[in-house]
Amino acid sequence: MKLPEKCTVVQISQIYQQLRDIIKESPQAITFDASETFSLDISFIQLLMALEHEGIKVSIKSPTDSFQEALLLYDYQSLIVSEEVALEASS
Amino acid sequence: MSYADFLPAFLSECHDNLGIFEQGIIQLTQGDCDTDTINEIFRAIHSIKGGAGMFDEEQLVSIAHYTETTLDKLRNQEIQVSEQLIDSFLLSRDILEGYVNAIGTDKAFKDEREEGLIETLQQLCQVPTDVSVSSTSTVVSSGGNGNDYSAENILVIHLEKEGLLCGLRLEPILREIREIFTVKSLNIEYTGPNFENLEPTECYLNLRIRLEPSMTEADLEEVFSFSAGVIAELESIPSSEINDPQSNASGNQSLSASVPENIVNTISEGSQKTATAVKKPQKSSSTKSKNKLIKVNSDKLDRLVDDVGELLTQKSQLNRLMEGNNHPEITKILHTFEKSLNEIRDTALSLRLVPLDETLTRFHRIVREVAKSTEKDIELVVKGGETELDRITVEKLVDPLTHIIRNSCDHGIEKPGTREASDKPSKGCVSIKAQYKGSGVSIVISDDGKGLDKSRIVEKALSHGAIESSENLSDRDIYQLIFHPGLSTAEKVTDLSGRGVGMDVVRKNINDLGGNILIDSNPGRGTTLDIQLPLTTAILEGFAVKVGNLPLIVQLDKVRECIRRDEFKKHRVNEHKCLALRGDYIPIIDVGESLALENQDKVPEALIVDSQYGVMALALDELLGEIQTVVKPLGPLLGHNRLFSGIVRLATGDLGFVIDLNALAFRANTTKNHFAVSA
Repeated sequence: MKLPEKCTVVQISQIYQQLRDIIKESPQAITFDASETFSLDISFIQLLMALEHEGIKVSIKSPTDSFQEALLLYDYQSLIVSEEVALEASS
Repeated sequence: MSYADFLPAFLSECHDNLGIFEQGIIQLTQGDCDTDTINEIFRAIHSIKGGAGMFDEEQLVSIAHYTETTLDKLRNQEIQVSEQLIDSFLLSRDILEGYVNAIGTDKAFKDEREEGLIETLQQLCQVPTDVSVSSTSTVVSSGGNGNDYSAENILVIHLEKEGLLCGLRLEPILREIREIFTVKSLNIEYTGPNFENLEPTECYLNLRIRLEPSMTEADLEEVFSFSAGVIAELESIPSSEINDPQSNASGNQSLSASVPENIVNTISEGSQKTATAVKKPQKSSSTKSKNKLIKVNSDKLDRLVDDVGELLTQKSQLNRLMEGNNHPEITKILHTFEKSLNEIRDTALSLRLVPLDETLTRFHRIVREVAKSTEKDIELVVKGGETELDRITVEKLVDPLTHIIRNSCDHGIEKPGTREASDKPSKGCVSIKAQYKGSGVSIVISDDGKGLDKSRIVEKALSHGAIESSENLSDRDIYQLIFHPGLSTAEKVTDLSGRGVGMDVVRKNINDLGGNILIDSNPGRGTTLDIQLPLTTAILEGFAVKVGNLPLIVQLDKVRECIRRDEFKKHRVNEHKCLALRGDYIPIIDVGESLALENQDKVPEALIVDSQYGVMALALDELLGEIQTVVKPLGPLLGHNRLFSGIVRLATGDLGFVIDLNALAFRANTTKNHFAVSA
């Protein structure tokens, strides 16, 4: 799933709806494309945690520097995977 | 609810907070630099920043952030109040206001002054690198909790469920923590529902952070002061348990910091605290006290007042229909209805009354700016800020008051050297005093400057054709001439005032509000302007009269007396028509003649009324009686007519025009159709 430029509380309801639709089709794992995402806040982190809570494997590919920096604030950088791993996960 | 639903409340709070910020800055200029004042303005800016973050208003967040940082330095006594600091805060307020006003509009907004401000604020924040003045050393004492250093403290952050909607921004806090401490471990605990049932704008997270060095309560206070949507506390872990990872984590998570990738964010249904907790709950997000005040959209109040006005008109119609009918029971019900309606009217009108305080306080800034640009030393004294007026009246008062105060500072108050040469204190004084007077409010603006120059006013008025001769003009008549369009006696036109385009507009604005403006001056001692206003303009208490077939309305509080036909005694004094009344001669204004209406061919009746030009007798065809009704603005065709200020619907269903008495008197004075009116 391609993430929008901002993954903050303003967009979070929209992202959540999209995720719900995706999960219905593919409930095992999800890879976020963060190549155009520049900011995130705690509401997005919560969404990631809620997914993990469901046992859904979450990974993030191609994060921008600012997205990566924000993930680091929450020590959540372990979700970042390389393109190859992401490709593998999606297949 | 969508996020857009919160926008009006956010904007309203922003304006409130900007008001608090400005008032606080003014207090700082007056030497009131106590902790409460600084904390209050800090809180105001912090709230703006939090809310702006919620709406992704990055520029607003940025300006608020730099301002907040500077305020923090001030709070910690790392920097002192200075002229540059005050100027920067005032500029910050203006820029913030610009961004706030742009929210919700489609217009892109960029204030060119922003970069300069940020640079200045950053410079102001540069403090000497004296390690003895650390930010934490001057903050509130921790209360001497010995556990702070003898055992390790874990920072526990509880995010409130509604936190995200209250402007919670955790990222700046985490950044600040990471700047001060090394994060040894960070656990996030999710306590929310299943993904399917999650409400994503609600928050179900707790964070547990282990820091090095260990956080103290003073640090906690410093980092989390005024943080919206967050409750932070320290859990103290006995030193014997520090090396036991299992003992100080929630659930079964490791707190090892050595391998960040191993840090697993905790997901549990509930927190199990195994540590010996020494908890000290901090300020929660609810920084606003819960009281019985609610915010109501002012449009709704305006509608309510309009509806009450309509009811009053309908009541008058009902009374008219009942005239001559003998139905005691209906009359009794009507009387009770009338009483209840009057109570509703008073309540509805009181809802729109606001104290003048906030409006008057803003003039401190104007005085400060004018004093600075004119190299004068001026003090503004405000009294009676608690006096209340209709919100709409207060809004419309800002421009005329601004003009008057600028004039006082620019042309009234002399430069310090000139004042000293005249045995005056070098610091000039402008004062604004508001008070209830009769059924209305009086706002008196006075200065201790040089006063008005009567001879120059007369000279200008003669050259502009505003008067043909200065004979028979009292001092007050002469001073009133400054309200004539295009007449300015200022020797030097400045960018502040003195172009003569303002005082006539000031008078018009005050008159449109149903008020009068009176002026008095004393050469070398100063000038006083007295603005007298009705409490509200929404519902008019008026007196209806008729000229020809046209009903006209006069404000009831301006009416002194009714003169019936048999009492109407006309005389001529110096070729001018006067009404002789109990030994006095009151100048007559023939309303029909002034309005080019066809008078009825009989002895007129008259209303004795007050105007800012003095007492006058309005000669007219018929006195109809008191009315109470809602005033509507004039349509575009009559909007430019200065003699009428509004239109009303009468009990008969006819429309009546509200006469602007001052404009009528002014026309009579200047066109010489009638002689000069004076008190």
